[in-house]
Amino acid sequence: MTGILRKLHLYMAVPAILLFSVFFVLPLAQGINISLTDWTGTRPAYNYVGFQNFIDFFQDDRAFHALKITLIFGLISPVLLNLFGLIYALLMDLKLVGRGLVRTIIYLPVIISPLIMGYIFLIMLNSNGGAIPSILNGVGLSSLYKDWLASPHDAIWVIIIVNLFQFVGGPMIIYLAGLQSVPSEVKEAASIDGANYFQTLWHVTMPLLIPAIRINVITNIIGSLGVFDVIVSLTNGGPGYWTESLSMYIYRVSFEGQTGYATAVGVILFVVVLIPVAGALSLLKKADYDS
Amino acid sequence: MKRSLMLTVVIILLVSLIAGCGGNADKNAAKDPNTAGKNNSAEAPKETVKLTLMNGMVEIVDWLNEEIETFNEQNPGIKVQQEFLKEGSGALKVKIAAGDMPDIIMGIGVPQDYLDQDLMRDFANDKIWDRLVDPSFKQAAADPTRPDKVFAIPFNMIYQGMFYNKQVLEEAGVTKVETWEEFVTALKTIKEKKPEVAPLFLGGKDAWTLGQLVSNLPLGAYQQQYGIKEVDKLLRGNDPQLGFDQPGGRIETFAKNMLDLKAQGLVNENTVTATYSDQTEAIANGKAAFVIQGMWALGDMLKKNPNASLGFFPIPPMFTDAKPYMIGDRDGSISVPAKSEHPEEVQKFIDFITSPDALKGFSKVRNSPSAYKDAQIEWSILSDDVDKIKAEGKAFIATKGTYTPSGYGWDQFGKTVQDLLAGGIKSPQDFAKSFKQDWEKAQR
Repeated sequence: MTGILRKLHLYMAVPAILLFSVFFVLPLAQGINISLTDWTGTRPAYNYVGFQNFIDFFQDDRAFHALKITLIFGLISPVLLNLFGLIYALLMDLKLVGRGLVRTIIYLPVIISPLIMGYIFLIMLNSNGGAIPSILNGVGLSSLYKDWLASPHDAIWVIIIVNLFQFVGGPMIIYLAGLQSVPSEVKEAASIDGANYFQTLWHVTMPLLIPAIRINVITNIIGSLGVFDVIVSLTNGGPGYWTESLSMYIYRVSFEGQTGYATAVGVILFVVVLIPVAGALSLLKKADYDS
Repeated sequence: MKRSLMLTVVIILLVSLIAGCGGNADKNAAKDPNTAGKNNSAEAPKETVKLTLMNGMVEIVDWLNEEIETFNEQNPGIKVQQEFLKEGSGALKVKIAAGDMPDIIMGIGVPQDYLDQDLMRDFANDKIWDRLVDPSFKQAAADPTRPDKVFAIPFNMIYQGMFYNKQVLEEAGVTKVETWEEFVTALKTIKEKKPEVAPLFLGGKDAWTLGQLVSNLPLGAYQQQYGIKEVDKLLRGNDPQLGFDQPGGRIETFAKNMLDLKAQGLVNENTVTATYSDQTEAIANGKAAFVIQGMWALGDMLKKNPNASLGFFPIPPMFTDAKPYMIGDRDGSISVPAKSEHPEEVQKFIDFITSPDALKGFSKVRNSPSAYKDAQIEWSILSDDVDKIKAEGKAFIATKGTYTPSGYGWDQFGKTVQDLLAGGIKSPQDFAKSFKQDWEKAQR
């Protein structure tokens, strides 16, 4: 009986381990298996082709471009989300009138589906009567307007900005919680020692925000590298394939009857997400330890 | 207090468990054939057969709901339920992969892979073919790889062509448009006399609308050159005589003409970001003079403006050796799995939905002529235009589109045209090379 009680925590973990195995480990193993085949997704039979799918990926210009778009979006978006999230959190931490309302307004877009947000901005950016060109026209700044979504090189920036607008509220809330847990005595002590606001922020507050930074950076990287919905609604990967992310590429080739190949690209995406997340975790763990 | 609360929770859980199991026990008793006789067979209610109908055409959702309601009322032992999925073929693949094959499939092209595996019922010997207006339509509906098999019953013959806004053309003084040169001249006239109107409106954000142009113009010209059956053999075999990437070939000429139209301002400025909905809205409300579309778009156009003054004619040929072109194809179809759990009930529904009355309703809602003799009606404001085109005999009217590799169709063609119009593809020659590369890749 004593032995069972000693190992009770292990037995209690069994249901969670089972769920994890069924919903993560097993599909991952099946996915890796399928990635080594030429399965079309519709025919029951398939052949093992070894690593040919992975070789094909690295020989496909469109696949490379999708990887490039994923990395651009996946690395720039988290930086902007965290930067603006922190700025908003610092502002909301000040005792300003109406900050509760402002906080809610900034956070509200987070609860909308990214697909819907994309369609809202698509309508707003429409050169034929959309809100944004109309406003620019109304204030005499029509020369600033361009059909950005039709431009191969500008469209990705529109997607990044829309994503920033929608999700900046998430990091803001987490940073705000972090800021509000910083003991006021520490900041007062710094102030007494002659530190100004920015010095206090950099040397006192930021080190204590490392846990919040870690959560935000990791979740933003994972979310941004898997971007799909907002691209579907804004550009559907277009014009042409210029804004197609890896997730969209996987979706497209899968429904073109290349399920084995699409699964291989899925494995590649898993690695693409894993590397920066592992890197960020390691860096932030070190920073946490140092602070 | 804690003990009594715990006791209450346990009792509630036990009661819920018993109630749930009790419900299942009743259902199991009804299904069990050994118990069915013991339950006074004369008065035991017959279990209702539920059939799932998967529909991929948004325009017929309401009509289908009404028909299903009528059918269910007339057949108390059968309950058909519609499930609309916009993704069509893609959604069907997911359902079949999940072992959730629908009982009836409407308005969705079943992927060739499934047809090759004989997953769908063969209707080749069905009596419905005796009712066709044009007997050759059965061949157009046949399986491309096994012409003796027909895996879907078509409903209508729908055409793609050139819609025009009658009022805009009248005000601009534009009349006859039969050749590509006349068409470009007409576009220029409209641009000059009605600068607020887009001469030709492209809804490029929905890539398939641009892909349609590829299907109608260069691929349609191949159909005219080689014949409907012969060209499919050449396309399937990727025959070099097609010359996809040949300098001055049909694909390169198509790309050059599209770029010329854009450079001369003869298409809307937002070609790549305007949607199919913008396109139908523009032609219906006089903001566009011409759009190249299928008749399925008419319903949407009339919703946007019930008084829209619209006409229809064949697409002017882009190539000197081609005639004005109107591509027809089956519109709406019904397929059923080869192995059905309820074949009699499914057949009852097929008989109902292919009855003359139902087909007349479909023809009306799709604004296109029925393929069946006993379902002919005045199907839309375009009926006279189409009858005139057929009577004049000047146009090449195809009964089906050309072969395209599996997974490489209008959407994919359209993305390449998007790239061209957005400046991603720099030249018509590059467009032709990209098209050929994608075609060959899709065939592997």
